[in-house]
Order: sequence, then structure tokens, then C-alpha cells
Amino acid sequence: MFSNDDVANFINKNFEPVWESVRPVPIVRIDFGNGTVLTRTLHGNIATYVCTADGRVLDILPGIYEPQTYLHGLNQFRLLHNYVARAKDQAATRLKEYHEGQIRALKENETPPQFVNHAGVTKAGIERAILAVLVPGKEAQQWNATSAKTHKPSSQLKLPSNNDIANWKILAEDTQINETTRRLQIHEMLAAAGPVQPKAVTKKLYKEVLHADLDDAYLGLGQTLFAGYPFAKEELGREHESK
Amino acid sequence: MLRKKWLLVLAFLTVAGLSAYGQQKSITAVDLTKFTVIEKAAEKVLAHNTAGVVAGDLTKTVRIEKPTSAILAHNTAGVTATGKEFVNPKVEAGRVHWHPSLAVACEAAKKSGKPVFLFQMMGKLDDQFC
Repeated sequence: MFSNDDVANFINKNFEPVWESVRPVPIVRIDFGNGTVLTRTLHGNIATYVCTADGRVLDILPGIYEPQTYLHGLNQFRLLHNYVARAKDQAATRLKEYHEGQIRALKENETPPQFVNHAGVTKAGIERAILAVLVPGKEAQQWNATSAKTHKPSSQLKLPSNNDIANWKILAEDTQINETTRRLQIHEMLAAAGPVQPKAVTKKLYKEVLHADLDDAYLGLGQTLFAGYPFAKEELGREHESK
Repeated sequence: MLRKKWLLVLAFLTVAGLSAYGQQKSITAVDLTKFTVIEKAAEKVLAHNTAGVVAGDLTKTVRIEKPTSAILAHNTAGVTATGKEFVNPKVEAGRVHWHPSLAVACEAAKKSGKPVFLFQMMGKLDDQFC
């Protein structure tokens, strides 16, 4: 994703980017002994936060997205930052209202309110000329359709040719789940928490939204992994002996 | 110790499905960080090894992760595991100009007026397998 020029350029231009690891990812590696080695990760996951300069979380994109939707989400994040910052002393209230508006729409299966940049076409061409306005979902769709005609990405954000349509379909479906079910959970979480530091919501995010318990050595999979563990009795006996 | 061996056995069985479908070669890193090479392989393994994938829960949670759990839970045959220390090769973390820490990014944001973009993940973005 971050090797895609459109995505990387958009991030570099509009954000101060940083990545951090919340824990090592489980890695499975099989050496078949004949020079063939298979390595892969299991149960990893990601989250994209947008934060203020004092490190307060404004919003979060959960998991993996197809690139166009991801870029759209990042643009919304850029505008959200502007929208909240302009409220100054009322920033926390405005942020809460934003999350509550998203919750209401998602619960009603409606297109959530979105930000549009009212700085104007000429001004918008100037770097950092932003006047973010939150408008109803339908109105934003019309605005975006008009905007898309004049602002096309430099590439079409396609996956390499060796990726098949099935992969796109799965990614698109996952994106849809992220944008509905998981985003609703996140808006509810952030509406309740207020503008907090990322570490205040990370564990909850991973456990409840992304289904990976960071406090568990087996990421919450232990019960499944050891459901048929044949040495449970033997191991329990040893533990008793050692005590 | 038994638990470690058990995990190795489970890990082997999880991935062993690949060999049956002609995916025995090492996975090469391509920088669509999580969903092209690594996740594609996982998806294919699980697609062929699991019955009754639930619709609507997808790339990372059910279609990949839950069936993985199912494989692990139902395969208990013993396989001896011999392990060498694995070193995750370093790769470029895309074309984004990353700050080294959240604190540094926040300081930069104070000067530039831009928001902070925090990408949180399991593993490391500059590791081949992340």
C-alpha cells in the first residue's frame, strides 16, 4: 500500500506520518528440508489513526482497505482535522458531535455525513487551503462526483497483474465491513472516550473491533488452539508437582 | 516445552495445506504490505481447506483467520519440528517519509499544521513479513 505513489504522495503531502508496532506478528515458517521454505504471518492486523499535534485521536480506519476507499478515508481525515481545529475551544464538543452523527447514520444504514472542502476550486489548488464543511451523505456524494471529474489520481491504483479478481472481491468486501460494522464500533468508542491518546484506545480497538487480544500471548486464539491439546493432563500434573 | 512442541505441530499443519495446492515456494515480499502476497497465500490455503466459510466476515478475520483456527483445532497428528532461528529480512517501508516516533511526528505537526498519521500494526513495517 505505501509503495503506491498516489497513497504515499497523499500521505507525505497532507500528514506527519509515523508507524508503530503494537506487538510482534505471529510468524509461521516451515522448512521442507529440500531448500523449500514457506514463511507467512497469521492473525496480524492494522489500524490507521489520525491525531492532532498534541497526539489526540480524531478518528481511526480499522484493518485493510482497497486503495481508493483508503485514500478517500484519508482525505476525510485531513478535512476532519481542519474542521475540529477551527472549533478551537469547542474542538472536543465538535469532535463528539461528528462521531455521534456518524453513529446515527450507520445505525440507520444511511450514507454518513462527510466533509467537503469549501475553500473553492481555485483556492483548493493552493497547498493547505482547506475549509472543511460537514454535509449530509447524499450531498457529499454529489460533491465528490463532481470533484472526481476534475481530480484524477496519477495511476489507477490497481493491484499487480498477478492478483486475481477474487482477491479484489475479498478486499472490497472487507473494506465494506470496515466502513460499516467496524467503523460504527470505532465511532461509538471515540464518542465515549473523547479526544484521547492512541494508547488509551489501542487495546480496546484490537480486542473488540479487530478481534486480536493484545494482552493474550495467543491473541485470544488459545482456547481454539488448545481445544484438542492431548497433553493437557500431563502438563497440569507437572505444574502441580513443581509447586 | 510440550506446549511449544504442540504449537510447532499446529503451525506446520496450518501451512501444510499449501503444498497440496502447489504453493511450495518461498513467498517473496511485494510491497502491498498486508494484502497481496502474505494475505493472498493465506486466503488460498483457507479457501481450499475449510468448509462453510461464513459470508460477510472476510479478509483478515473469518475467511483467513477463523478457518485457520479451525484447521489448527482439528489437526492433531504429530510432526517433529526442527527449528532454526528465523531472521525477518528488512525491507523499505514504502515511499512514505516516516517519522521515527509518535512524539517526533507530533512535534512536526505543531510546526507544519498538518495532522498526525499514525499507522499501527502487528509486526514491523520494515520487516519483510509483517
